[in-house]
Amino acid sequence: MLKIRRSLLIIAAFFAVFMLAACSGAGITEPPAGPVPPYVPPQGGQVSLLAYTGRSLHGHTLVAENDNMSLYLYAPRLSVIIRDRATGAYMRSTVDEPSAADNPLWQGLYMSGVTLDYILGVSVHFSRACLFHTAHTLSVFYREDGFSAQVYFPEIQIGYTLIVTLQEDGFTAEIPQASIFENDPNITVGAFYVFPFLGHTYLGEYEGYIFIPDGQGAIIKLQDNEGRFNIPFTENVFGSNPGIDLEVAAAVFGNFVFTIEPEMILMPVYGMVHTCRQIGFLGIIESGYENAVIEAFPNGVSTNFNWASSRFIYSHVIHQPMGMQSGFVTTRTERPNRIDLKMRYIFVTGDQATYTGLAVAYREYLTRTGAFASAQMDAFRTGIDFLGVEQREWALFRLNVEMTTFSQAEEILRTLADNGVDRVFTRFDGWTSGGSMNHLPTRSFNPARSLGGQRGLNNLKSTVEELGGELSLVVNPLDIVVDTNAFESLNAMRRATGRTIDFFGGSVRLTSPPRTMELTQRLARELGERSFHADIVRMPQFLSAFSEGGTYFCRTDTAALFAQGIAAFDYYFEAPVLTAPFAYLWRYGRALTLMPSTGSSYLFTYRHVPFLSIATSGKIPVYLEHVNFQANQQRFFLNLVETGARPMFLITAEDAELLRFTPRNEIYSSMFDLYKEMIIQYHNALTYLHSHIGTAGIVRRYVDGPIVRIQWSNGLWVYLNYGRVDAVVNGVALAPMSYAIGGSNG
Amino acid sequence: MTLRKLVVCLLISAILLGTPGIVAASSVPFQTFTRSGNMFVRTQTAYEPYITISRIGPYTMSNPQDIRLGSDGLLYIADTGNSRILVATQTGDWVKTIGEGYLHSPHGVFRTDEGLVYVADVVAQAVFVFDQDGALIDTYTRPDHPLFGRYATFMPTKVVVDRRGNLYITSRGNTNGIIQLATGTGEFLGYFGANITNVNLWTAFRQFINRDQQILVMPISVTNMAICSRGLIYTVSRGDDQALKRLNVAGHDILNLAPMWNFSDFIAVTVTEGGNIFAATHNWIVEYTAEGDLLFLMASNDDGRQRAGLFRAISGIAVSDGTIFVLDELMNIIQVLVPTEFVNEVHTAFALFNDGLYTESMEPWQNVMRMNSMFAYAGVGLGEAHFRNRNHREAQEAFRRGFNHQGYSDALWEVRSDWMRDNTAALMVSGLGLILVWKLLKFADKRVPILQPVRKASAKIKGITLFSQCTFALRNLTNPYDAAYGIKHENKGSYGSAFILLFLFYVLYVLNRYFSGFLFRSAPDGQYDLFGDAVLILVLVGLPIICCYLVSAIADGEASFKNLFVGIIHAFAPMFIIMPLVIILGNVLTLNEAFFITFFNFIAYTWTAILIFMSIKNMNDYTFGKTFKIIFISIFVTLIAALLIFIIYVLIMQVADFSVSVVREAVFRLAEN
Repeated sequence: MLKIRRSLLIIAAFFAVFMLAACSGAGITEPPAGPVPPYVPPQGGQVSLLAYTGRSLHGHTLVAENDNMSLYLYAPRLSVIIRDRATGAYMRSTVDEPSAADNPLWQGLYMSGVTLDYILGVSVHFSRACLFHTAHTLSVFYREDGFSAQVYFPEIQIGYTLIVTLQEDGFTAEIPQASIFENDPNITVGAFYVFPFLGHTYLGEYEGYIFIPDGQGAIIKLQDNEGRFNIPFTENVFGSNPGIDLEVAAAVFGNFVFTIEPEMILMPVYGMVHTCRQIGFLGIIESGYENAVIEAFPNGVSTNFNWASSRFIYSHVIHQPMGMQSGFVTTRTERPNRIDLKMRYIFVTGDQATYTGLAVAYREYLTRTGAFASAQMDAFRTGIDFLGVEQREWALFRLNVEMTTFSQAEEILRTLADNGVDRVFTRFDGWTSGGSMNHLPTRSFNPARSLGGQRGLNNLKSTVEELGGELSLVVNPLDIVVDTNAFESLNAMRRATGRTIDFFGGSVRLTSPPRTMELTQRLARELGERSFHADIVRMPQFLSAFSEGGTYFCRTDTAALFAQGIAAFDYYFEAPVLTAPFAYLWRYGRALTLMPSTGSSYLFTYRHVPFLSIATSGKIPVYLEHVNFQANQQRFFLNLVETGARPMFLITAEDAELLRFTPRNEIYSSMFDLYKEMIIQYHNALTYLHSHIGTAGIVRRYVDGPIVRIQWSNGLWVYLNYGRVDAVVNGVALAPMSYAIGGSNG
Repeated sequence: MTLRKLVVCLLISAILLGTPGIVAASSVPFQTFTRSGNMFVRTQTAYEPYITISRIGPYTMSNPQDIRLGSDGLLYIADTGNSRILVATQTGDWVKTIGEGYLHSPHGVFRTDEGLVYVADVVAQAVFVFDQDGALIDTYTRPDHPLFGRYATFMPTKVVVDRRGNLYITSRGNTNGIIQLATGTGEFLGYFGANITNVNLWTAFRQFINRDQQILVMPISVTNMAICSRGLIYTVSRGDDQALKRLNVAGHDILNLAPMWNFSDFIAVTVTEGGNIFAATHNWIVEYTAEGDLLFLMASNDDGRQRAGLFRAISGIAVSDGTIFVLDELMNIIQVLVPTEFVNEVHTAFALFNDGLYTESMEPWQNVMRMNSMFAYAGVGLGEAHFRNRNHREAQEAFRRGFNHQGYSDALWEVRSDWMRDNTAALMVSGLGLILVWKLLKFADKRVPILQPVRKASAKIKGITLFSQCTFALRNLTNPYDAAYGIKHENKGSYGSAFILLFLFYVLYVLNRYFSGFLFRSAPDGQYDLFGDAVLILVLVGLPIICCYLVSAIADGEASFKNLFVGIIHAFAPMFIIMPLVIILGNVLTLNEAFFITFFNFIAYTWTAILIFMSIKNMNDYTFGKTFKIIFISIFVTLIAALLIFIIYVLIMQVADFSVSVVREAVFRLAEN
């Protein structure tokens, strides 16, 4: 309420000033600006740091300044330049001259600081309103730390207010939802781009890269691609939105069912680094990430520019079915998504102008904003993920397949402890009656009798604690297996069109977000009362719009419900462990499990980078995806060494062969006897490494072919050789596929 | 097997997976599958994307159609759209360009060990030969030999050359086979390895009903080929069910892949030094062992996101030291896939195994098994190793895991022999003991009737009408005439007894199908469909009986429906005697004694058929000839009835579908409001 009231006050104030300005006949209020020089792309690799001419830079006028940064504005197009005062390096947000080769849509995007896409009627395509091609009125108001601009497009009768504030390390840009007004009921805001071309480059003019949050992270090299790529990186922040995207559901059953989906965006960030100019920025979507898309366009894709941006989706065009079999009409979602758009741009300069610098800046930002408030950063632990019981079809009925009973798990942990592997981080999946997949969603505390029942589970918990470890029970309050839980499927989540979200031909559905929250809170209470930790799966890595009772709810609503549910664990006992969660939930997690180790291998990416691991290093325990299923286990081990992440083994007492005819037949290797030695080796090596690392975070990473050097914040260096031949780094000999701790001298 | 069928097959596997698993995937954008028994299972990534070559030095490719690896380690690429051959290093650095000015549309390229580069040009209708410096030294055009065929085309698409210098050329539109030309002279040596026409029932039916529109059944042209170091030619023929072949000198296929593991969509093939075969469809790559066992199936369609490892249209494939070079004609790129640690371990194990070093192969096989417990080939490898080391029980278990029936059978033979050796004496003593106990009981019973309660109970059971009606079925075994008379005139059979016997038959069918041992069970492992089996039995037994009754009713038959139904069910008596024996034997016999199973089954089915025949004859009081006639008419009527039922079923399902749609829509609208 306070936020709404404040926004209304701001709008009222702006409206009053706007009316005064209009009455005085001044359509645009701006400081004097010099003529815009024609855009001449510098030659390859040329460093242009010295175009600074006092209060004006490239036709932009200085509007705010602090000890570190200067903010320049070219008001007619709301174009900004941000300049690092110490180094003189700067980045621009628009292009000076449009290229005749580009169509007006692209010209509008790169010539305007802010671009608005709107939906006309029920057209499936967005139209674009910009500050270059579209008639508009603009009022700019200056503050000590930035400016505000009120924009109105008379033709489409839409207006908004942009607020830009200079920060110590960059600036923020906001468009409060309350400031957006639509006067024509047939025209609605579709999407916003805010400074999409900030830091753009032309073909290969500057060396550097675009950072995209693809899995762990990836970089797109700034080089002249000579037209090799024609597809951009365009991904929803926090995964697909099946409540809207019909094609996502179709992809599961299409011809390409066995293509692995790209990694989801776990962190609402992107970046651009000009290594030759030693400046870069990290764009953080601070608010509105639930309905944002991150786009990165290497040159050759639509234009000759390299650029990256977030795009905020306010309304969706949906295909409303007219019957069960066929026929639909296109329509808009009945109300806009809830977005109080806010972008934060953090700039890095000097030797910090790398993706590592961006990751460190993100880590500091996350720490500052409390994202690791629930994290329990303890000494190194090895992760053991037990699978209890599963079911398979048999002649007359379903048969239990007990893979690991509670007592077998105890025995395994004691065996490990006898070999020095203690303080184990233990997950237990498939602990409920019916197995891990057959009786979803998890609704209550109901340990499988065939595994040892409640007493067996209590004994296991005691053993784990006695050995210094901790035990989390895996719960999945989201998925519904319809066959075994038909009653629950009545609460299935519905799309914006009112249809249920079905997977695998309707055999799997999802509980509606309010019901998911209810189940989560119930589980939090039941587990908390018994002092059991939980590891929540699926729900932390899923976010979708939905409808209930004919009312549309956007992903912001779902995120709020999920967060509310997950927060209950901390209320009743302690913060839960979260499996591969989206960043907005990190603040509720004690540890993060099964996090991705690489990315999606887009052709246009230059290489994957461990951005996520760097951003979380030293702040929250991160367990990477299971060691079992890595085809390159030596390389994966080196990844663990490099990033400081922790290993997770999926372990069963029985042979995985028994799972062949169960829903978990994707587990093709898990028997403890096969992994015992490996667990011990990993544990010993990584415990030693982490005794040096402590709670430090990664601050530098250098890659030279197969050689990688990592520096931690406590000064420790770690050298790794991913190559096939011996190498010497700083006098330290490295055998192929090995690593060494290099002391504090890099 | 087409890729569509495969996708359906894999989709079923995916449905079995249930909810989306939480086992996180690696960065590779495709799943890798391996064969495990008669199904595909997921496995670790075998090959992962390494680099993508989109330019060869300063050159971009246009619609490239072929890629070959020369013995000089360089890649030879038919850059078809640019009418040239590009020669590049394995990292995409340009080395030289060949054929500019001569070539029009080079579709195939081949480099000999001597450094000659052969190029098949479709538009020029010639095969050009260039020396190492790119100078044209020879051209082969359409042979004028009369045996070549007056109307046969010579539009070369691919070319390979054997060690003697003979050329093997595939020609677009030429269905006679691979054109074989002598080196130097270009003399036509004949056609080689032609595909044969495949007229299946469906084609025959179409030909039958479309007499006006002739349906030509032409053999399929060879699409692509490769030659191995031993000089054997490997071909793929797109559209042929037996697409991948390894041809001997006579042009016969000696690979003989089972259709399930052979994909009619194959368009490219290559062979490694070790003999492993890599074949590709437009989007998938399959690796076979030298023996033709499907090892890995991987890659997938580009979903529009341009990710490394996904393809839009593969046109060529080459392999060097385990690294795969895949040419994509639509993306105009070469994607390089490199082997993972897992596949290196698999190849090491296979190399030792194929050299007969079974014991030495144990360690790598165990490593493979540790990484993937469902990797069937590891089961076979370990089974062989254990078998050689006389660990028969372990071998049996390993072969079972590897779905290797012959190995399992051999191991079972040894295990059984060991068991027999260890337990024969005990068995004999137990048998003698049982006989002795029985004799003593009988002897004692004569003095004191201790077995009297048993006799009473037996008599009581025999006194139950239904029981006696059921056991009356055994009369069929000795005297079918008496059995028919008894059912027809003495009420010695009833609907009740018939249904009990039918249920008993169903139980035996189920036991035989699912529980007759690994070697002899007919149902795939882990799959149970008791309801489907019940419907099958009911339809296969019930429908013919009804049809037979209808036919005999209008053909002067005397039997009532009850007589016919009960009589025919009672005729299943041999099954009740023999099938239990078959089920038991199935669990203890090896493949060497499979004859016994076949023999007993033959007896059971033949005997039952004869008894059914006799039952129909006796119940209706027909002659032999008339009985034959009635049975044939009944079979025909059954087929017609099945067709009708199917049509009615389809119609009903459509009505039901529509009704469900209406109801669901109504519910949905109500829920929305």
